[in-house]
Amino acid sequence: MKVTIKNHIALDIIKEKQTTIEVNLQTGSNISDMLKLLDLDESLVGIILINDELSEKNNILKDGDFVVVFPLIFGG
Amino acid sequence: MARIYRINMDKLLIEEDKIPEKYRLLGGRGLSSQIIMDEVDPKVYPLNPLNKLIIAPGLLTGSGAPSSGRLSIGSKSPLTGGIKESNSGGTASTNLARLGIKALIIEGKSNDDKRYILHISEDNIELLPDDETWGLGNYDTVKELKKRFGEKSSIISIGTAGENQFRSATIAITDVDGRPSRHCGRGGLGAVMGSKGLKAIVINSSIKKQPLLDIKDKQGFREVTKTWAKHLTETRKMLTKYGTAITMNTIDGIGGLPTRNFSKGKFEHVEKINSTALAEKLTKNGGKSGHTCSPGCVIRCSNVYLDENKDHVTSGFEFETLCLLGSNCEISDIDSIARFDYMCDDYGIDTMEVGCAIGVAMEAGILEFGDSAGVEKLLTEIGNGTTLGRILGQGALITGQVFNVERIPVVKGQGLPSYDPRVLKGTGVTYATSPMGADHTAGNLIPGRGGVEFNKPEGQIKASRDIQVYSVVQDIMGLCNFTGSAPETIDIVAKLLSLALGEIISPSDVYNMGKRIIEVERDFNRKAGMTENDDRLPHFFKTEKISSTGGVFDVLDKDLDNTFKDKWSSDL
Repeated sequence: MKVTIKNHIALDIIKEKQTTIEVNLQTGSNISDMLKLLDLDESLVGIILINDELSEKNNILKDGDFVVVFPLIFGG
Repeated sequence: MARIYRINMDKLLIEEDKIPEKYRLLGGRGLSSQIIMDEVDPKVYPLNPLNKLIIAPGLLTGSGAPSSGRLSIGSKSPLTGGIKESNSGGTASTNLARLGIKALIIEGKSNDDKRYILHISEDNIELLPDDETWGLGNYDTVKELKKRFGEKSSIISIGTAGENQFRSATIAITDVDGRPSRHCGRGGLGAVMGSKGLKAIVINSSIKKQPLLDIKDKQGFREVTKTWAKHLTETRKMLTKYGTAITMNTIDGIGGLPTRNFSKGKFEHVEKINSTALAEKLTKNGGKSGHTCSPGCVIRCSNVYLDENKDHVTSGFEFETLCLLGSNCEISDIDSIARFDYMCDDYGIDTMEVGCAIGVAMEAGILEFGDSAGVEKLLTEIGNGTTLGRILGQGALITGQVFNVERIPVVKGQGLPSYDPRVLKGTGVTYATSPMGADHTAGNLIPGRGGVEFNKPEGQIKASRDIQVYSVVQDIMGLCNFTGSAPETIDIVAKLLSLALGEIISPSDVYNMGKRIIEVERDFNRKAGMTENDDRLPHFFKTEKISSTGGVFDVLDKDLDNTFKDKWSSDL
């Protein structure tokens, strides 16, 4: 299945200057699996949205999902 | 020995005070709030000579603890009518601490409208007549004072807003580049300084003298600070690289980004003012990220923003400014917001208070949302003190009252920060109940903090109470908020104090230091006339659903009233 992931500059998910990237995942994969595939350090990850809904790292993804991963924040 | 100086502006007299035992383990906000409680009548008019301005480095400032160079300034606030502490980075705190100065107490008011500069050097402290800088903005003031006292001077100053005693007036502090870009921004403290006839404080210090805290076990202390500095450097890398703007996308993503005078929680042009946009500008124009806001900061989240010609536009360009003068006014041109930031720094006005006030003015139809030229004109009016400028310069509440706007985002008269309380409910509890008025640095329950779900009402009272205590402890110690308003910081502070004093200070002792200062501040506010009704968010947050999530602020009033009546964690 394919999901679309939105880039965030601080997480440097995509090296090229794209705003989104599509990745292929095995059916039944969750957010943690996706982060592993992207080689993204989970400790840097804060809020995750799947199709604009707040989600957890163990949420199962489905084909066509749009995922936004935000970095951990400290306020500002 | 650490010293406290009392500067009497009536008599032009400076005296060294003995430090009472009860002030020994206080610094920063702890010391400023305690001195105000001890010496200022809570009923006094804030711009009366009987009000006092207290300037205090943190207890750990200058000790070698990482990111501990904040300077607290406290007074009775002309904006909130209650006790106030606002703290800032810059170079002044470290220099005061190195001179062994635990606090400056500015009292009285100069006679015959004469204006003064307080000059502090290694062997002298004196009040000098100010014949050159009154009427100048902070940038020109600093330029003139450096000519007079030397390039390396550390300068605390007010701009024209402070001279005009506006409730949004800040006190500026020079940064590591010598620019007046760091500000004790909140609560109108610049107006108090202006009311006393004090334009600036110049500090010249090159050598280390007595640290504020005599450290008994120097090696043990160094080991703890070294490990902590390493931890902070490693875990705050994203703040170092992208600054506080990194917060923008998350808060917009969860629908809590104040937009169009707090009527919406998402900004359609957020991509033009977020950390990506900022990083691109800094890279393209040769600006700087990873800039320290105070000596010894390992987080280095500040920046220097240049224009296309590589000329300086502003420094210390932060998330709060990008939101409140950006999305909240529906302005998406980052260069314009950077220019606003400079203008606010120069006139000495709080970007947050004025961002809220201009949002309200836009709703009133004084100018259109998104009109950046209009905002620049209004900021100029504030700086020049025109009639409209005088109204806006008094902040969001007075602006809203003058123009009959219902949606005025303030608590205790102070404009709300960039986290909508209908989405970030624990932060909303802090806004409502903090003795400081709406203040995110008083205890910000952003996602992931406090063991609660940020957008649910459950558990927020205890979470807010605890994080308010952790935040006060940071403010007492002079620690940056980004060292972590969390139990881990309390543990480290307990270790550091134990090593410094050679006596056991437990985390519970440290928690109680913070708790006691909140109680002192609440007591002052009660005596000033505040009641439970002042511990409330504006009514519209309860009744108007935010379009992003459909949420309202649904923490009950009776629960808010228990925030500091329930058992504190140290009692459990």
